[in-house]
Amino acid sequence: MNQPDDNFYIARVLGGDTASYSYLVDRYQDLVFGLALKMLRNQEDAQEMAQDSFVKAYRSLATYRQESKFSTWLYRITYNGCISLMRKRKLEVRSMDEQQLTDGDEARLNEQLTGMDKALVEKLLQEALAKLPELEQVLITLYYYEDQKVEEISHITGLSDSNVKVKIHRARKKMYALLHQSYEEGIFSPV
Amino acid sequence: MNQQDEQFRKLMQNYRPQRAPVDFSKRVMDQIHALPKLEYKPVFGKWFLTIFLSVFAGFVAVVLFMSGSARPATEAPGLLDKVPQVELEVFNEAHKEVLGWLAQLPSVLIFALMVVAVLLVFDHLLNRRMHQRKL
Repeated sequence: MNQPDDNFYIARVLGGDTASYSYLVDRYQDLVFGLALKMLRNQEDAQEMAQDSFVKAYRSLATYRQESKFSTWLYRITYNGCISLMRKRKLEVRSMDEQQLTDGDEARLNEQLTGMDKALVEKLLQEALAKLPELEQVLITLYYYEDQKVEEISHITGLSDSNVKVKIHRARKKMYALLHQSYEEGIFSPV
Repeated sequence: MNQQDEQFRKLMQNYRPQRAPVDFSKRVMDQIHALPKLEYKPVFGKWFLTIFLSVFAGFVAVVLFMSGSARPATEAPGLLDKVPQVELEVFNEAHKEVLGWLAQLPSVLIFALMVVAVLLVFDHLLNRRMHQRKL
């Protein structure tokens, strides 16, 4: 049986059934926590930020106008919270040397990775992603893992659509460069 | 979406984001249950404006009828002949009297009264809107 959509639970919470909010928390806790962790790079901070984001969303639920998806609205709250905290703590956005592969190299690497053990590929992706600057981690996760549209990511981050597209493209290139680097260093081998 | 995007998306299906701690949901809900109830309460209760308007309308009606003269008897007296005739001139006089009274008040006070009246109406509308949202 299909689970009710977000709007069903939102209506219930607004109607006074506070407990219904736990369904929304269960549904999005991993994604919100993951987003906060990517940006803050610290488990405790990420957990606190994720909790605060849910509480903030709950308190502002009456102002949620359903112009965007609930998840997009929630990510935006989390993203803005992380940015504020980073500014307050004067955390610098990390940069990395760019080493780009051609489209052909990327396709070959992709084939090699596809033929490997999934757990190993997962580990490699985790490691490569962790080396990217915070914003690029968020963009990669939202676009390629969570299937968010460019317009939705633009709404979350406050960047223009074209800027989001450019940054996603660059981030993907960097991911391949990092994966290629791991491959060349012989950190992993085909199963 | 181009081919590179598509192949990378497939590759990303192997990725698993770090999961939130096991008791995360409980912690959030505990925090939410601990929040003070911020329920909106209007300055006037639900029935206040209705009762106030009814009393005011009743008062005006009584004044109008009390001040009117009795209807002259007709050849065929009916039930309505017993009701005094409404004297609308009273309305006009009352209006003039109120205006004269208001003219004596300082303009700051009148402005303050107007602001209070606007705020009360706004409060009433806000309350209705909140009620509708809940539905």
